[in-house]
Amino acid sequence: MANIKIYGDLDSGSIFFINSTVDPKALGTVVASLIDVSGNERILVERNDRFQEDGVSFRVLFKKLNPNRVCNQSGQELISQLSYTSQQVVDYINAQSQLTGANGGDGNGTDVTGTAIDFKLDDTSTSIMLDNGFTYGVNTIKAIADTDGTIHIVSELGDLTYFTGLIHTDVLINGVGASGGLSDVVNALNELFQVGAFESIVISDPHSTLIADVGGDLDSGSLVGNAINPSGNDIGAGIQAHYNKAGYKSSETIDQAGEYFTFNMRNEGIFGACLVLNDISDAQGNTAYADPSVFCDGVNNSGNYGIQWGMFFHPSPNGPWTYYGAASGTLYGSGWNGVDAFRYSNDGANWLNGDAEEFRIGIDANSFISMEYYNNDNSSWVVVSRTNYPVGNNVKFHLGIKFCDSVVRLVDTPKVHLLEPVAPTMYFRYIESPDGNYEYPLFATEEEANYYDLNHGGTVGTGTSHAHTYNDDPTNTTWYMADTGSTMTGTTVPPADTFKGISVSYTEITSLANADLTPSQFSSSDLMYVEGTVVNLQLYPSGATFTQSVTITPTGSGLVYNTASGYLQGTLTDVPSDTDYTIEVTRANSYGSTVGTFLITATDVAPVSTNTTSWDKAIDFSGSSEYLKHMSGNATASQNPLGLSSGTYIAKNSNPLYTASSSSSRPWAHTIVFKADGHNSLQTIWNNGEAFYSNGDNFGLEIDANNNLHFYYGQGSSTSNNYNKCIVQLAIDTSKWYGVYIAHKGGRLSGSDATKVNLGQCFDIRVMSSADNFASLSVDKSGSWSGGNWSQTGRRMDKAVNGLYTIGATASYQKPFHGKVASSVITTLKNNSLAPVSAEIELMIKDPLKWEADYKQGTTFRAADSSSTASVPSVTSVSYNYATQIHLMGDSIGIYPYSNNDAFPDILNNLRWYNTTKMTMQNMVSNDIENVSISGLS
Amino acid sequence: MGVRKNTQYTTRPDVLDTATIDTLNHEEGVIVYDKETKELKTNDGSAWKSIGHDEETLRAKFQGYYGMLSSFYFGGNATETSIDAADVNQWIDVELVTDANGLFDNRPTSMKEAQSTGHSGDGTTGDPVVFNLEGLTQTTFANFRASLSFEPAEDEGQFESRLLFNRHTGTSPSSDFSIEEVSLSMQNGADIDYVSEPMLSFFIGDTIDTNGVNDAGKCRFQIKSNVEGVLKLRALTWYINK
Repeated sequence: MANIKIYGDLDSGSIFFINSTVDPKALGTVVASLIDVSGNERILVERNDRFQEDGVSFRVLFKKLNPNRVCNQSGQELISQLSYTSQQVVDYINAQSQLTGANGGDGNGTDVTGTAIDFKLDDTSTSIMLDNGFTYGVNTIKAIADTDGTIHIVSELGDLTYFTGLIHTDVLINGVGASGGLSDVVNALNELFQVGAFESIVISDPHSTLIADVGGDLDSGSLVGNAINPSGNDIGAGIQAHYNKAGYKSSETIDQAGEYFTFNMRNEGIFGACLVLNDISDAQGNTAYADPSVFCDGVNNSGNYGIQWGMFFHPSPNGPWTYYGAASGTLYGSGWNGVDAFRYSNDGANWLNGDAEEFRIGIDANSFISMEYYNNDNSSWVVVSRTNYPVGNNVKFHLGIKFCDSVVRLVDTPKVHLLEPVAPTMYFRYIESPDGNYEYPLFATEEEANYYDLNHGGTVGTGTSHAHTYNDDPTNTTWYMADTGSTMTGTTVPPADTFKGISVSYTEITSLANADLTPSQFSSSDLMYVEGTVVNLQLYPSGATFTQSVTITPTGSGLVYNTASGYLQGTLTDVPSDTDYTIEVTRANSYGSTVGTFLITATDVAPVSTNTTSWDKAIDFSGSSEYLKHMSGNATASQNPLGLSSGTYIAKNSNPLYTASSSSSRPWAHTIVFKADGHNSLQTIWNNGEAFYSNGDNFGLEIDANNNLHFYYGQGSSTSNNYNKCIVQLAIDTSKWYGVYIAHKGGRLSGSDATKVNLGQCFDIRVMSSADNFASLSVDKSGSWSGGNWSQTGRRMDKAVNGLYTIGATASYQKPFHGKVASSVITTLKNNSLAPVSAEIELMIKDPLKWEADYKQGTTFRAADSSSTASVPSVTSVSYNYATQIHLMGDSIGIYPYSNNDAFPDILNNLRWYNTTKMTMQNMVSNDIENVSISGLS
Repeated sequence: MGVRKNTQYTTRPDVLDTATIDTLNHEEGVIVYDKETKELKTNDGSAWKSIGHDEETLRAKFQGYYGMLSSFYFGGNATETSIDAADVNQWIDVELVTDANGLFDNRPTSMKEAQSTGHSGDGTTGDPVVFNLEGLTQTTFANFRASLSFEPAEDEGQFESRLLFNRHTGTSPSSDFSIEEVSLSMQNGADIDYVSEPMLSFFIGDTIDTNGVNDAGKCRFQIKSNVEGVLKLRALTWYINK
């Protein structure tokens, strides 16, 4: 039976049973116990978060697991390879199930010493990505400077450590090496890790630049052991191969961070640069090694003896070789095997040639013992290695140089470099403000700035400085800048620099990015007002300091932005339909600009109707055989204003504004208000005539399957296809109501005369609609002089038109209409008279009753199918009743003389009740009379 | 009860024993009644053929079952087969001790006439129960049902069942074949009984039908588990429709 790897994993929070059927279980839910099965030790593994049917017994994962099968995560068999007992295996399983960050698993982190890691945020700034494949949520991890001198990446909450041993010079952020010292890099990482509302990064431990005595003082130490002063100018050398028998020990000591010894060595051989304790009681690590009294005593041939820590050079690697000491823990620097490796440098080559090279060993700014060589090409000190532990403050160290063979030479007297007593500890800082502009050096104290002013390279000042604060410094700290030697307009971070011969380490003053300081984007929900509303909106916050501009599109809203007050003001213009205005608000300051938009919708409100005519009802036609039939009786033209009982040619009036002058002329006018359903068929809205048969004469209004309106006039065929046709309007909107006025000015043309121009002069066709609340009247679609929209011509009009006036279909209910009709007005026009013009036409469509009162009353009228005229009676006579008829499709009430109302199936002439001037609903029902609201009319 | 009426038949077939019928001329279309087999027979001019049985005979001729029950159904225990580490993920012959009252041989007549005992093997280790298909033809279909429980030693295991068929000698290929199913996915913990009654259907194809005397297909029940455990077999039953 195969072995099973059982182990817990903190990252996934699970305990795994690899190579078994059992899936991973949550940590803490697995319990193992030792049982006896027929004299054999077996392990019962249960889970304590599930129970058997009895509700008490734990669910069993392994009933009798053989302990010999259990392995750890590495595949080691616990019993056969690690000599566990069965009980220890049980304990192991239980321990794995109970892992926490403090006691094991991956919670101790991965050592990444020597590995470069690039950190960056994803595009949404929600995840921190490491180029070793790990990802973490922003604000969930932090970088800390550990006491071992490296960076540890740990959880923001809890005690999980993800990575250890990350050297600050191995850190890249967004592909660029992080600058500065340990603290700078830690700060830079934490700034990267924290996303969201900006939190000030408090730099509690800025990288200090310790101002030691660069010139140094000659030490007065001496050779120890069997070291000799060799011939020539050199002052020290060994005489044999031994790691603790010959050397130099300084009399001076160092005890502060920033203090160090320098010395020159030549000849490629073995030597150790060491620090020797002044007091054994200060030892860290192996006290036998640390004992200063055994330094080069020749007893033990080991580099460890007599020193706290030492870095040794050797010919074989042509430079840095190994390290010894009481606590030899070491981290390599770039001078060991990095970009500035000694063995590959010109200084290394010099050493191989036997030339003198300068070295130093001391206590660095972070209290680590650091051994460095001087790179003459770069004029800088390069760390070869340093301890991985700090040493205590005020612990005194001597310089110890071990001559481990007879080759190497101490060239001259070493020097000690102590901190200058008058120099403050300098904390060099810089700020990027605004983005892309760097200012440096900046100091937290005036003392530092003044000291810098006196001592920087170049022309120094008199020890004066000035103060700066920065808008994008969230701490609002006052920083001090020397009056000389400073930069206000740098384009990069400060370049490598020295101050009094000491390398300067800069710490960045964390500042807000331009994006953080750009004005917040204007935000507002969309607004809706009725047209005519007075708008007074504050768009500019009180106390804001940014500039703001506003654009409004499309133009014509009636609103303007008052820059002085910051208000959007004005009265919304009346609109024909709901209209959106985009308000674009641009805010700007020196850091950038933002743009926010919102909509103001001006809603169109139909004006309150002042019509005399009621527009609350309409008749709904649903195709089939539904229609309205005029009750004048078939071919009783004398009761129908559209009647044409005689067939004859009638010359049109030479003035097309006038009706024909012939006494046989029968001019008429017609209006209808309707709304189409958009049915996919050719439909008759109204018709006067004999229906669509061979030799049938008809004229009327129709709508086709594409919602195109046509007026037709002609003879014959089963449809209007062979008639004179005028396009009244293409593609009408089926959500709107339309009013169509058609006047025939009496001319009745032969086929040859029925040209576009002649037809155009015989008719006047106008359209209004609720699209603009019946505000505008169209041009004459018949065209008068030009022939307008006549799409088909050449059909004779000199025939009698008998039959009936119908709405919604022909009298034979052909081409039935799908839609609503709210009104119809039919009236005779007098011969040789000015035909109605725009004002009258408009009123005839919109308010028939007022039209009748304004334009008929007090005038004369032509009797139907007659040339005789008479005065319009104030009380409608039967004769006048035949000449002008207004059908309001349910809105007529109290009709003279009997106060009749429109009532199914009768739709009365509003001017007078009479049996032959009403229209009756054919094949319809009472609720085909419907309530309606017509924008612009009702 | 009213007065019984005679049938409209005016003729009655001869009522004869089987041997006598065999001596009659093969006269096409005639009908006789075999009083031994209680069936009507007719002749196609060359041989006598049955054209009708009584219901009981018909039932025995065309359907039946063969049941082997452990003592589980008689107040005792099911037969246990231990699945040890070496048996994991292997097809294993099951063990079955048939109770003294637990064998029910109601196979179709042709199977009984071919083999007096329906199976071989005593159901102990190394001698599994093998069901004999002799007497069946290619018109036959059958169902098999095992009644069992399985007690796994590890959680989240899987238990499979199969019928393993041995072909008769007159076929090529002659290798065994099987019909399988996953019977149990045991997700509720180890150390408890998971009950299952796997049902496997099959038909008698031309490699397991009756090829001759003592030469027909055979089948046995096997199980496979991916965890250790104990199989507790209660019964095996074959249902046959010929």
